[in-house]
Amino acid sequence: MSGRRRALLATAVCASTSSALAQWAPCGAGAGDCYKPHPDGGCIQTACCELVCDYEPLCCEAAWDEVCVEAATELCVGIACPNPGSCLEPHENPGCDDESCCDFACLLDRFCCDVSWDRLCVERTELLCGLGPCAIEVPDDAIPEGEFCYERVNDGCSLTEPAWGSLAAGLTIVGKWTTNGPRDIDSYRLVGPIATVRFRPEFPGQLVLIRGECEGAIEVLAVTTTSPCTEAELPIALQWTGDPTLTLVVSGGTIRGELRRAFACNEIDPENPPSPDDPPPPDPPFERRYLLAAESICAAADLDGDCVVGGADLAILLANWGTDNPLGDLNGSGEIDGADLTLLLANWG
Amino acid sequence: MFRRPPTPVATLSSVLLAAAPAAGQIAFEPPVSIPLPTPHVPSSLHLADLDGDQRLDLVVTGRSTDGLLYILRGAEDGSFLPPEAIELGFPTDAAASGDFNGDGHVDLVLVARTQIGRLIELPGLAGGGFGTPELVTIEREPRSLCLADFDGDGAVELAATNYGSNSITTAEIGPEGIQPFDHLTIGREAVAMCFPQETHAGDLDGDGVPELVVPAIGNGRLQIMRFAAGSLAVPNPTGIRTPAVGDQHAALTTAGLFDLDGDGDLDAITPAILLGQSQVIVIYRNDGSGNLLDRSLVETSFIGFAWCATAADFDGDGRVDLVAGMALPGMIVVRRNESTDLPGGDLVYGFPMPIFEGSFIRDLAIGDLDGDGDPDLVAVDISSHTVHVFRNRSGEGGLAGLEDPVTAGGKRSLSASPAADRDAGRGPLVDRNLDGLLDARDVAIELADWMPPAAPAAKEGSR
Repeated sequence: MSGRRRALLATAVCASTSSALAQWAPCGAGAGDCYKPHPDGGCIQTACCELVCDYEPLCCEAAWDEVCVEAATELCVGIACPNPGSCLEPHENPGCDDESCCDFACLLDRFCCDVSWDRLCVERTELLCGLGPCAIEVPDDAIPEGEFCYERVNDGCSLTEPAWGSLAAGLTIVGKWTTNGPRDIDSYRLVGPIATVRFRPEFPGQLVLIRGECEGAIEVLAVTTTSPCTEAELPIALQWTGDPTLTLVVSGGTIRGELRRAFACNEIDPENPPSPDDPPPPDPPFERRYLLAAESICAAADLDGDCVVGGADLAILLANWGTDNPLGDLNGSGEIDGADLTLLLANWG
Repeated sequence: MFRRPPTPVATLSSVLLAAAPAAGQIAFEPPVSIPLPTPHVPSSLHLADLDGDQRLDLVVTGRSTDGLLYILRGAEDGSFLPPEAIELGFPTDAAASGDFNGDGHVDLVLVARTQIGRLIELPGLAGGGFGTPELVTIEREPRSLCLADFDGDGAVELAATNYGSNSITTAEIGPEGIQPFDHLTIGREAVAMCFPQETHAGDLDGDGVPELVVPAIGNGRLQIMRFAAGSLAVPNPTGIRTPAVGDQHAALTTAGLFDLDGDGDLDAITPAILLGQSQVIVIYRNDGSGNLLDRSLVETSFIGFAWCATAADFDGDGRVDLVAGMALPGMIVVRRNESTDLPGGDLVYGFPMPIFEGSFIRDLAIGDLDGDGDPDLVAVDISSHTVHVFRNRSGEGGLAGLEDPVTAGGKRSLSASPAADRDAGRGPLVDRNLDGLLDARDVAIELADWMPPAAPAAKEGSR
């Protein structure tokens, strides 16, 4: 690193510390190229512009001159959104002109922001452009996933000691997916007869249906992806029902690939709390919750999947009496008790 | 963690020391070593008769920035002539051949291991030369390809692994050139990055349609894909994990398909890395229906890391023997098939027989180079930029085995940690597949990306 760059960086860090939340109005869309002098203050790359103007306020307050360009060259390495070039056309330079589209594509593929905006970047952008944060409506009876995002509780076969959540017909789970420490996946074993699974994430989500033991063979049966706050429906073929290894895996991704960064966990691990000096994790481009609901073509009380509520179902319920097994917990209370028995008897026949 | 227990490799080597082979023993002539121009960084081998002279020629792909491909024409004595360079402009990682355009000459197809991944078709010309390369972009960092009639239309198609995109590409290849057909991201069901390294095609289940077999070094599974009849759409995979050994699963690296037990179906092998234990080849025996869950381990060496493996009946006894190429250091170890109850019975292998010690054996190839009817062995060392040719002399006298460096007293000191055997100056093991664990799979990924210390980085961010 050159002496000048060291000095620039040191100054910039100090400046950032003193005015970390400064918002420079001329930064962003409509401003000039960060790497070319222009008469107006500010430049098009918001992150780069703010960094430079923290170092030299005149770059935003007056003109973006040679000093500002030099500062940008030194300080803005790796910042490529937005950059000249349409997000929908391949071009030689990294990044593209729509900041949010550009950011989203680079979440999937750093090459797009580090080297060049090629055909694959365009394909990724087409899937993500125009999407923004949204919030799902969580039903009152939704069951929490039961995993803090700093934990690894239901990562299925990816765990040294495999473990899963479970999902039965009539139940809705509300979960959270993140990408750090390490990337989270949420695995749910399907319990009982299920005809359809509905998946609604707040992020670009992927739902993978697999079956098989961890040692193998693990067979990928189906993959579906969906946009934030848009519901995807995954039919469960009849021939798969009853397989005790049938598993749903939730994570972030699009048809063009997986999301593996930028969805930081926002819960604090009490055993490993962050230092007070640590900056808070950056906000993700989308929220992190999802809903996963299972529906059966049979009555909810049909526990053995024969579409008749009878003695066999009663036996299953009684065998699990007092437990939290989702198979039999018909009202989703977390315990199999008299209320579940009442529901079963009400659906008899 | 890295301490290794003694294994038969160490105890047997003195028996094998430079002895003339007895009947039923595998032996090779001392290797003919052919240095390649530097910095080629040779990455794979492909044997084919490119010029129609009935001798096998050798294609050596390479990862250096010079973007050269080397072809070594077959020589009369079963070795090769000096390398001829073909300028492609891209680092390459795998090659295959065939008359794709139907003009009667052998063409080559290669993968360019760059972030803007490409398939490269080199049209063959009369006399064995090649015309202007044609390029088709695919996904990130393709590393391997294979050819087969996946859709049953009577013509070969192409499948390639895109290491950087965790995906598989299929493509038509014919008189109209290369036309990509489908891409599929694989490994979505696991925390770990998938990193598909190689690809092989073979009809595992005997239905006449070849399956695609891909060792995914990031998630440690052999991925098998069964194509739907008449379709070139990449099918969802089925993954088989390597067997557990103690508290770890072996980390697979590359793969191969062979009928090891003589029962008429294809079995799979993957060389695999274990930390603190002998390196192994994992054998996946086929039950005839394409089920490869019958897995077992065959030890190779307790120094270095298992990187590549192949198989052939070297001694002509009708049983398929195994050979493994190691990394850092680069032993080549042969395991003779001594099974007595084939087909179908247990697979039994003789003691590991080290025949060579290099630095990093990046690939092995088998072919009858000297026309004597038995399989010869070719190896390439990525670190020393050298091709080594081992002509098979089983039953005819020759070099049977090398002294094991561990027991040879002073030839080479073995460090307590295989990590220390890697090139000096590299940092500690890092979580390369982002699964939150530091294990053998991270070592496998490190080896997959490994470059000799002096080699320059390849273009376009290729690693």
